[in-house]
Amino acid sequence: MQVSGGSETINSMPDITGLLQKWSNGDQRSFEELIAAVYDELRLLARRHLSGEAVANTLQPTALVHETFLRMVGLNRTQWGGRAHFFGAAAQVMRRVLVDEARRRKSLKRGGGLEPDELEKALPVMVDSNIDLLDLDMALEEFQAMDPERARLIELRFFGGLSVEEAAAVLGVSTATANREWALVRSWLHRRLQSTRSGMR
Amino acid sequence: MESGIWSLVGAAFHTAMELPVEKRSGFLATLAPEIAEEVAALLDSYEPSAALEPRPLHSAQTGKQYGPYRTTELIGQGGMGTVFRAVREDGEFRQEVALKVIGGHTFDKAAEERFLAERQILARLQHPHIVRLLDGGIAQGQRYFVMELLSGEKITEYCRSRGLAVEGVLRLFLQVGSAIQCAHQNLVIHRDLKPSNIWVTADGIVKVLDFGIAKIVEPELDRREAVTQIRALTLDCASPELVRGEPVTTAADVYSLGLLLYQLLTHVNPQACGDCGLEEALKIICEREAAPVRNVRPELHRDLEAIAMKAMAKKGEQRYASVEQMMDDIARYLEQRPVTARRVTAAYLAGRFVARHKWAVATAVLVAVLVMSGVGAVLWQARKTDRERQLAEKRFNQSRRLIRSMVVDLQEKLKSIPATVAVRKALVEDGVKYLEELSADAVDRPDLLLEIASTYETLGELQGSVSESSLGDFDGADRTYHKGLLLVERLLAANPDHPRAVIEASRLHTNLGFSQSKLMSREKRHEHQVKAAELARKAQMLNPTDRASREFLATSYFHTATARLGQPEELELWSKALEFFQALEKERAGHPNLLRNVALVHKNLAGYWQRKGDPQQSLGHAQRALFIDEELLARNPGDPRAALDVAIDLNALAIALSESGRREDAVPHLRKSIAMRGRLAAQNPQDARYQDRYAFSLLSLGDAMKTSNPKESLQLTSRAVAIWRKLLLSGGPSAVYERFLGQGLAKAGLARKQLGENGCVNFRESWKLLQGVPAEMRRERNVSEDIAVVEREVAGCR
Repeated sequence: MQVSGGSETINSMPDITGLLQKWSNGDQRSFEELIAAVYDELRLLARRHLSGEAVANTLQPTALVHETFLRMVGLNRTQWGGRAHFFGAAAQVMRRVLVDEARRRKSLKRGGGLEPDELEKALPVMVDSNIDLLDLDMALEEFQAMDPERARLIELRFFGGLSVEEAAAVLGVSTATANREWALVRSWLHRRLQSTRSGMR
Repeated sequence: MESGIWSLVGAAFHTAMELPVEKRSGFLATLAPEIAEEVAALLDSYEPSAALEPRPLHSAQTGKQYGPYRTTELIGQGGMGTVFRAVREDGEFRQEVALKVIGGHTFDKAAEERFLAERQILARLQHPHIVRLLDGGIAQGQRYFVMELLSGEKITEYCRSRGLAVEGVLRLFLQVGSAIQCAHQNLVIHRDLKPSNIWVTADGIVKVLDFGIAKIVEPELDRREAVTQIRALTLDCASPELVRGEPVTTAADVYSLGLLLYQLLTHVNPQACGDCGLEEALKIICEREAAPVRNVRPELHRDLEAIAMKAMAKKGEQRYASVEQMMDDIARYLEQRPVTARRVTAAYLAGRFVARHKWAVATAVLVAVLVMSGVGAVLWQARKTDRERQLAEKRFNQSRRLIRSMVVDLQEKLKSIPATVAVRKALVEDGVKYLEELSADAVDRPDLLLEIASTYETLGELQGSVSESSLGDFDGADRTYHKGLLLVERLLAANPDHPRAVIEASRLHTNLGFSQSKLMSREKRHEHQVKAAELARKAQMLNPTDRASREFLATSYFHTATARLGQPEELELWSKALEFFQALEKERAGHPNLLRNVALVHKNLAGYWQRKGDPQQSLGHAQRALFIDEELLARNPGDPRAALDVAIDLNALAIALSESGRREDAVPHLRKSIAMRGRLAAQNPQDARYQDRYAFSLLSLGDAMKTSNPKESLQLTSRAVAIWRKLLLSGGPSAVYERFLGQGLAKAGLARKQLGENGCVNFRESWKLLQGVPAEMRRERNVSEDIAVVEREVAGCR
């Protein structure tokens, strides 16, 4: 463990690979640790991407997650199994990061304080710009209660930034199956978000 | 919703999605009303929910780093990838390029390797009408290509906006054709030819881009997706075989060219179907013949119509057999000669095909296609269909022939076409794999086992022989030889005097005796050499008058001599080899391989006398070798091996001249040799041997000029040093490279000293390297001299 200047080096990281291993062996506690470790890293990245440093850029969950993965786990040290778990975890973390940021943004607005323009522009990129991230989070919450398996697909695609193929690999199903399921959940989500919107109006 | 009901809804939704739209309401009517209602609502949501689709994976970010390139501006986004303007900056050097990020992220090692291999092949496509691929790589799991940046407009727009007349259109089209032709000769199929991939610059120069890129994206898609994907990308321009998922050959590019010509002439895409459904679109592509060109533009000449329609034939075999033929027809039309498209008799076409095609290139293209789409599939199919016993034999022979002809014979042909290393490597690796499968089936068939063993031998040589330009995979070669030896030894155990088996065993031992593999110790190599010589003599004894076995014994003397360099028996071995080869050559006057062997022995004798310090003897042999090799090169001027032979002779001659005190006479020979080698090295960037030999000649000239022009001497030696450094890094016969690197550094240090600079860094590194080279190399005169010099200099540095 290094004392200062930590986050750029792998040495200062908790043992991500070890945590992944434990988690994939069914140890739920290590998942919490994993989240904690990855969360900080992702938030740092998200902040950096959302700050003025990248004005013309857009926030890409994919880029963030992959970048994080590379920095924390390294490309050659894990097999796809490890990666699959990582992306599963990262999608959940990403969701928390983004939703937290969105909440913060809302409260800033409500408080009449600063108007973080860049955030406004950057945040909802992984979904249609008309969709409120918090609505999406809520809908997903609801779906999770009903169908936790398929909910992971939504999470991976929206928050993990994975393609259908990649998500299929993480979930351990064929691409064809993932495609079929994606058609279903996407339709459901659309319907649900439509009704939220009309309900609010 | 309760999850029990939801799972029913989900299942019903999937079923309904599989049904044609018009049948769905019938299906819904069979369901419980509350479920039917939910499913209907979801089905209605399906189309609009496309808006929720997350953005494509390749992020449209600028300012991102891909290897040494930084993206600065988004140029375009399409199904195959995202194109950026990007810059490469290192120090004072700044280059603007186009950078294309393709596909999603990949973490699949095999896919990455395939991509990198493909990049190598594409990078070699150099043609005025092909957009140069400058670089490519994988950054954070994203694959990217770097291409020259160009400005211009799509060919269709260019023609339309300038109202180009037919002749002008055809001249542009010929440029497109020459680009595709060049690619086909380099074993690359474009696969995605369409107007948006063909640009014309402001000065009217055609530039075709995205060669072969479709192939890199495609293999990742499964069949069903492939169709949707193609639909999204190129359905308007796809060939029937592409949408049917059949192997894509050069004929697909011919089809696309036909379609392009049609569009350029009529401004109509006969394959476009607007909003029609997928089924309909596929039907148009695969079945419906396009309306004749003159239905759209009646004023066009009948010949042009015939050319376009022939290229667009739905069946590949009815199209032009090559792009070359199609372009010939266009040229004929422009010269107002009759075109072949209108004289279609089978005999005429077949005759023409044979006449027009250089066999090597035609086969090469065919095989490349097979390799790319997997020879494996071919063999696998063959295996699958022969569950019955009697078919097994047939399949076996087919497979064996396939491997022989594809891997081995083709290698010979490819070897004399420059720059085909990546293809060759893939071919060999496939070959070894299939041989293994075959040898399991040939256990009780001596003739087949021998056949397989000799194929192993050939493959091993291709992987890592010392005497030919090889692929440099020495450990792989070693393993391959051992596989062959295992089979032969099994045969010899049953029948020790089997003549062919004796010869084959000797050959395999010979190869192992020369092994450059790190897996092989010196003692082991020596054991193999002794064994090989023993078996060669035995073979000749079994069959004393047979020419082949005498030739084999001569070869064995040659090889043993090579292995015993610096030993007392060396000269006698060379003399024996020379005697046998000269006698054999006399019997078959002018036989190129025998002639070359005679020259090879002379070359080696020149080297021998040079090492012994007798430049006069050395000069004589070098002249005789040069005389023969120049004759052989004149017979086959495009053969890189023959060119290298001549270049080596020139060098030997120069060294002999220089050592007999005629330094000035040596320089022109050296310059000629360097020019030849430089050309060969540039044409074969991956071929270690050509690089090594080029470096060697640079060093020789550098040495010859060390007093007359120390500045140029330093430049030459530094270039040589850089080449050997690179070769060492890429892992070759390290002792040899270390020796030359050490000698090169010694010369560089001396040149620096001559120029009044400090050469100590060079001397120290040289000293370290030369200490490590094997004792028998250090005993060679020019090495021991260099070592003495370096030791003195290093002492002075302290």
